[in-house]
Amino acid sequence: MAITPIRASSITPINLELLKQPGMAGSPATATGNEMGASFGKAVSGAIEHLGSMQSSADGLAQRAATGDLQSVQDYMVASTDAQLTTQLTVAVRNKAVEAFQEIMRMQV
Amino acid sequence: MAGPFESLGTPASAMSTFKTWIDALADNVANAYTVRSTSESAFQERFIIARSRGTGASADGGVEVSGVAYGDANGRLVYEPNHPLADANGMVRYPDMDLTDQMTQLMVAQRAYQMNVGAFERARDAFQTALTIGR
Repeated sequence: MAITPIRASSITPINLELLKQPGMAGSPATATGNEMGASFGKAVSGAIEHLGSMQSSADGLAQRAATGDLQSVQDYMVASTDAQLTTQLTVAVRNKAVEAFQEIMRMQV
Repeated sequence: MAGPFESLGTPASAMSTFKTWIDALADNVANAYTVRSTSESAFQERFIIARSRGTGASADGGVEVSGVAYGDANGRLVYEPNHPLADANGMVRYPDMDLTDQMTQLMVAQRAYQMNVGAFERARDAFQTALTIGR
């Protein structure tokens, strides 16, 4: 059973800039908002890219372990633990971002 | 191993090094009774040369195997005239190593490997508790 890794290109990062577009009147905060949005989006997409590469390296090692090619057991266990931790971190970051988004949406205009 | 969990690479490097040490010691123990004729060199004891890598403060700390060394090539000359490899004087070469020493080092290498697995698991558990903040 092959496990396909997450590809970074299919996930678009949450950008605070998009929230400002539909008719919001806050212009003085736009400049810092854009910067914040861009760096946060970059951080999230960077984390997802790193997650993709970690998962693919763990997949490669898993395949070598299954075919009997793997010389050291700890290589695979360390890579899979790293991939698992990175997945949990990415999911936590995404949950926090969605929570923040929902808080903003709940604001009464 | 770049990324937020880079510090897990330190115990991982130690696990690789101790596994190589266990391999070398197993090779020594397996060849403890390998006899050679006096015209060749004896089975040489294998040693691992380990070197610390990076500084402990950065995440690239740990240990790595920087080379191998070989023991005495002369071995022990033993008088066995009935051995097919014996020379004119009836001498053959046995490897020059102490088996109790090898077994003791094997136990040390095994415990060192387990210690580093423990260090890895503690670090991983610490990261996991950090990930539960604010959940």
